[in-house]
Amino acid sequence: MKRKVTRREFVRLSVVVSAGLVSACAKPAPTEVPQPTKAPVKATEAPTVAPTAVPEVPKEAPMLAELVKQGKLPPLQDRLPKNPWVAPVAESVGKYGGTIRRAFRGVSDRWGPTKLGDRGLAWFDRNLVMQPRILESWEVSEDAKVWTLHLRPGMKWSDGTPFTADDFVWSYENEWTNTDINPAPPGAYTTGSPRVMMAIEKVDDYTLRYKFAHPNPLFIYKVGRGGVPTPGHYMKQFHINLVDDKDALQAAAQKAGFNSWSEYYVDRNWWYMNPDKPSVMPWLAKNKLSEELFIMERNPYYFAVDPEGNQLPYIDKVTHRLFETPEVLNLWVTNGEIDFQARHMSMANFTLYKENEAKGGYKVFVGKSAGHLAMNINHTTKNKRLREFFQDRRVRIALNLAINRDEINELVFDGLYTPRQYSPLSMSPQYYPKASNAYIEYDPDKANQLLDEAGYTEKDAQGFRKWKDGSGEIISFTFEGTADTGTPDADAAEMVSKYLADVGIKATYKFVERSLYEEHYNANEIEAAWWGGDRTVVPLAPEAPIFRGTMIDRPWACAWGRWLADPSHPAAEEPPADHWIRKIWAYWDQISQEPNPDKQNELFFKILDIWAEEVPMLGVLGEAPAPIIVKNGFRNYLEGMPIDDTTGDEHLLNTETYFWEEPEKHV
Amino acid sequence: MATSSEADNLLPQNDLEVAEELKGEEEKIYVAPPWRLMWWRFRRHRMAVVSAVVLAVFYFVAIFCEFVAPYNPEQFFIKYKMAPPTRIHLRDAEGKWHLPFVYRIERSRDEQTMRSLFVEDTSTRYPLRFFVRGDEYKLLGLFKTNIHLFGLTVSRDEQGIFLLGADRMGRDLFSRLCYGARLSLSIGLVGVFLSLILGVILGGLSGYYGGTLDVIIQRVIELIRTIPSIPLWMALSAALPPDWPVVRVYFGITVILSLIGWTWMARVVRGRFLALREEDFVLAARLVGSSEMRIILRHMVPSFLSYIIASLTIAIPNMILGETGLSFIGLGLRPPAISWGVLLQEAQNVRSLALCPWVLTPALAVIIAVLAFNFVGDGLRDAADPYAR
Amino acid sequence: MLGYVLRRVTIMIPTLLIISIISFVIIQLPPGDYLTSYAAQLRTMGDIVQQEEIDALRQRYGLGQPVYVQYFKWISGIILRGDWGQSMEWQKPVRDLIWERLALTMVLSGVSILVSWFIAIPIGVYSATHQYSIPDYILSIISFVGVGTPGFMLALVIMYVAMTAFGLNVGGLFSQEYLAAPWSWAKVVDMLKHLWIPVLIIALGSTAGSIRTTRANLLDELNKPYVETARAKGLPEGRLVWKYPVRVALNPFFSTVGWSLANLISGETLVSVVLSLQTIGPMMLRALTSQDMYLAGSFLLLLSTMTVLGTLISDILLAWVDPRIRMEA
Repeated sequence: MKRKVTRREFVRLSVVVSAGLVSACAKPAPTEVPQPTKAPVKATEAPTVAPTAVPEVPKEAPMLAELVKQGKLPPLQDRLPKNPWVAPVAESVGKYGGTIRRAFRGVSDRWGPTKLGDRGLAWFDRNLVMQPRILESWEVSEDAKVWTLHLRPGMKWSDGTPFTADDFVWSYENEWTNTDINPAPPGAYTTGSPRVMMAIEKVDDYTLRYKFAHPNPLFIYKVGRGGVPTPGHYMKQFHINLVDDKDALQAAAQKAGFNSWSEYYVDRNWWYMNPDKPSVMPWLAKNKLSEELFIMERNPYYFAVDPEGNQLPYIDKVTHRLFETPEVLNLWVTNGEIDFQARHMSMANFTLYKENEAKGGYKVFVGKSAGHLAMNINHTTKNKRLREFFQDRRVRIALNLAINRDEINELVFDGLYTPRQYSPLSMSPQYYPKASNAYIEYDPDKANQLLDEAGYTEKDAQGFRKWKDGSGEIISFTFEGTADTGTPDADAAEMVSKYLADVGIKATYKFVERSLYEEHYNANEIEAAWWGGDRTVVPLAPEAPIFRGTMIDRPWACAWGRWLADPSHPAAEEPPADHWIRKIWAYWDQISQEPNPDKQNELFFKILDIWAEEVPMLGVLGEAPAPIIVKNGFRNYLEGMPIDDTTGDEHLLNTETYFWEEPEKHV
Repeated sequence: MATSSEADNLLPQNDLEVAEELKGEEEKIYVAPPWRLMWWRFRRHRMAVVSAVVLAVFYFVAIFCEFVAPYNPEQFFIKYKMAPPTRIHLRDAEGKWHLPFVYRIERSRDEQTMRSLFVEDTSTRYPLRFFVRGDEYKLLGLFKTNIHLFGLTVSRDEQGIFLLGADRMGRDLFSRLCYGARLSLSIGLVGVFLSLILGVILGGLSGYYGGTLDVIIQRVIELIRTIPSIPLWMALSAALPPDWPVVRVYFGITVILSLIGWTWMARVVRGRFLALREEDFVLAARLVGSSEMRIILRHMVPSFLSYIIASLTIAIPNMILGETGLSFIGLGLRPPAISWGVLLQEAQNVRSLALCPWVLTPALAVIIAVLAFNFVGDGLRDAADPYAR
Repeated sequence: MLGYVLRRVTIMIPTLLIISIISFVIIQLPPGDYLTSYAAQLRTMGDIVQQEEIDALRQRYGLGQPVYVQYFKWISGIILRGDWGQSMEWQKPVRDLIWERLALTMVLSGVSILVSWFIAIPIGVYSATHQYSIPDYILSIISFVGVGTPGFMLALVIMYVAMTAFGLNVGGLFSQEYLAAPWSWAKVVDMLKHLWIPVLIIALGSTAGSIRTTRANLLDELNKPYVETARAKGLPEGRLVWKYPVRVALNPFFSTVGWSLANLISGETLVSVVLSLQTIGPMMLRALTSQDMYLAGSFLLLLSTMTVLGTLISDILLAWVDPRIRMEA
């Protein structure tokens, strides 16, 4: 661990030095290169520095300056909000121009391009604290029921139309609450169970109030990647309630191959399927994601600037190239045809990537993935004997102690993972070593002793333990997972079943297709699952669903979690009155009413105490390294960043600040 | 028949026959029964003979894989992660000659790239022995024993021998290949056998009776052949219940492969029936008053059996390839089953090519098997009609 | 003659209808539907998908309806409006998707067929005329190795070697800079630079088969009395072989060209997947796995129709050449 940190520090240091040189060559004016510090750049401080520094030099991309000169685009000050968002840079202020080449797997892989460009109302800083992004600021009421959002005056959509509170109201009225378009209201705007939609109030052009029926202190997390309204001025032409000629709209929908206007509307509303739709992203779609090469180009109205007041993004263009199997992508990577990619890069290929660094002209950065390798033993399995077995704390501890985590780590993952339970990552504000290190030592003797204590003493000829009911049958269960043949995860699963066999427990790994897995999950037919969990960087943001046992597909408390969400579900079951899971839920209820982040943390640690005590899962390895391919000369991305869905995967650092040292070489 | 005797001289295992032939070659040809004529013709195809031997070896390995394989194919060892094929030496570092032996192998790791590195430690030698004791198994599922064809006398924890190297989990690839042969080679046989049954029955009916039945069967065959094979395989394999155990999936896949394979078998049979129906010897049999069944089984089937065997032999490789293709799409057999298709699927990636190309050897096994089957089939086809010129 | 053609065409129509039904049934065989696999896919990629959303989508796509209703909707769309339905995964009309890729597929398959014949016929003839000679064995071995090598594996190996040893740009049919560019001479050249790998691999697989066919047919033909007669009359061996027997031996070859085209498209699937070619194969495979039913069904129907039409054309050609066939049918 220590080695990693120092290396990262070193990279940062050397980059600061070289970046100083770079910007010194680029512009004679700046006297001071802003030092990337650990604390986030305060959104309110920076703009006062920026506009006064060098006002006469155009602080925009040359391609845009040219358009302004030709009169095809309004000048920069008319395109930026009065108080633009100042994006903190990880390394240094950058240079304009260049293309980033990436790869994607088809329309269903929309998250690659989307996470790169998604801009929500607020975003994490490097300490994983939420800061304003599209919003200028926000306030939350004492009871956490009313959120007041302040927009940036003068902010524009990518077609130059003002971006105001009206857009939010339009979306609320015509989209979020329209049951044709959204059969179920978007989760971010509802509270309680059954879900109640919030109310919206426009205070003035740049101020909104969201009123929830229940306290919603974690609301801001839910709009980190979302919360952006729909451009009503454009989309209204596809909305049946807002067009005069309804037949013409129906006909147009038919012609485009859709059965109803709402399908057509939804299709037109995908930013990656409709390049005409205005957006507020740093790059705009230039064609459709169903093409072999998906192209994104800079948004001339993008609302952010760097600490020196230069409009972002630095990069002109982003391309995503379609691939069919990851092997072609691996070849592209080793051949230097990919500039920046974490998605679809597998740790199994680490050696391959690493050995080709020089040839491909890139560096393999290693990020910390939020994922864990763990076995979800289903405490609520339908198999009565197995349920009794799993619900016995001694058994869970024994199974945990039976696993030789170091050996798995070494054989399957080259020792790059860290043995730990499912718990917040070490870089998370909620990191809690007690929970991470609970019963992770390898102690098969103790494991055997605990299993004996739990009453599973009888064994068959091969040494497998028998059930307590005197049936003479051996304890045997299946753990299923979606890790396919030959993947490291499947290899690790095979090893786990060997360790469990060593203490007399027969556990068989079975690969299942994802959709079949879900069917099993829905019917609570999973005995155990080979599936740890992610969402451990900022566990509070997604409402800690795995810790509460409510996460879909992570079935350690399958029937109980179901019951909490919907007691009428056929697979739902109420947990016993004195069960510890109820304590977890009680703490969570307090968190979800608690506006103070420190108190939220304190309460969350109490949940983690229960996890450390009860060890609900068989956690194996975590702090999973994730390879990120970064082409030489690509800047403002740091090694060692957390990679989690909640924090935008590899895009936690603001993507609009990425730049090329020599943009002219990356056209 | 000069070539014939030439071929005989190449295969002197049957001295008596050779001697006989030298006496009265001409006469012998006229009196020889058809199967012997076929054998003579088959022998003229030298590659076919060689291939037949190769296939015999393959099937021996498949049947006795526990004995031939030095190790349990599932057992993994950190020590041998991606170990290259073990080098077998006859001469030690000092230049002295010994019986075959291997050196102790030390593994280390490149801390930058995480690549496993292996070096031979020439101070420790382990002799290679035949019929050594190792993991226990049941020969043919009956006799408990622990004797293996070859191996080292020490336990694998100390040092192992990997003829074809080890895979990413340190499992012995040669052992896996031997176990894989069992599934892959039998899929071909069983599948072809099923095709044969379907093909002969339906093709026979079609060809012998003709008329409406013929038209219907021909249309069905046409339909099945019209649908592209990959989607058909895929849909059928995807329809196999995913909860099935390995053995049942294996049979399911065999049935699917043969469901498509029977159609051309039926065509061959039908064509033969159509041709033979009008032959004099069939007419003769009919005039003598033989029953229909007897005519078919006693006179017609033997006369085209050779053709069928030849076509079958050529069909087997298609089944083997089909199995690998299905595994590649992810619809074939799955681990813990070991088949050549499964092994190939595990090897089908750039990192294997770059870091441990030896895991591609199952492809070689597939190629050799296909080659051998084709040559044998070729030879059989050439020999099929012993009375032709 | 006209009567024969008419008869054949009328038989074809019910065949096509049955094929369309079979195609539709085939894609319904696997459990679940597109939305089950869609939801699974989204969840794999990190989305949270609510059950309500899936149910609503199922309603929207009409997946809840009985299969025969879905079938009639689909087939009537094709017959009446030329509308093949909407691809759920690509969010695009199936028609557009297929046409986009058909041209490239045709180029690839066509070139591969030509290349393979160009190699196969001379070799096959040589092999047949020199039966059991050393070159015959060697050529046979090579051709069987071609048959026996799994194409998907070969594709990966060739791609890897092309890249590591020769520094070529692999994957796809174009370099990235030409992907979005309009057609130009430079783009054609770029395509040719990429085309040889798939052509080589696909041709290798089918060449072997063609060599065997040529060899076998020619061997049969060479045993016939007319060859003997010609030889007796003193015709030079070269002319003797090429003038008649080869032509006759190749006859079945050309008559199955229509059939082999569809087969080749289906055969190139795995190779194209590995090479990441934007041809019909990979898209069909993906549609089948994700149960994108209109797209998958349309591919099945299209390929089957190609086979039926191909057979029809060859039958007509044969009938034209050989009057006896007309009478028989």
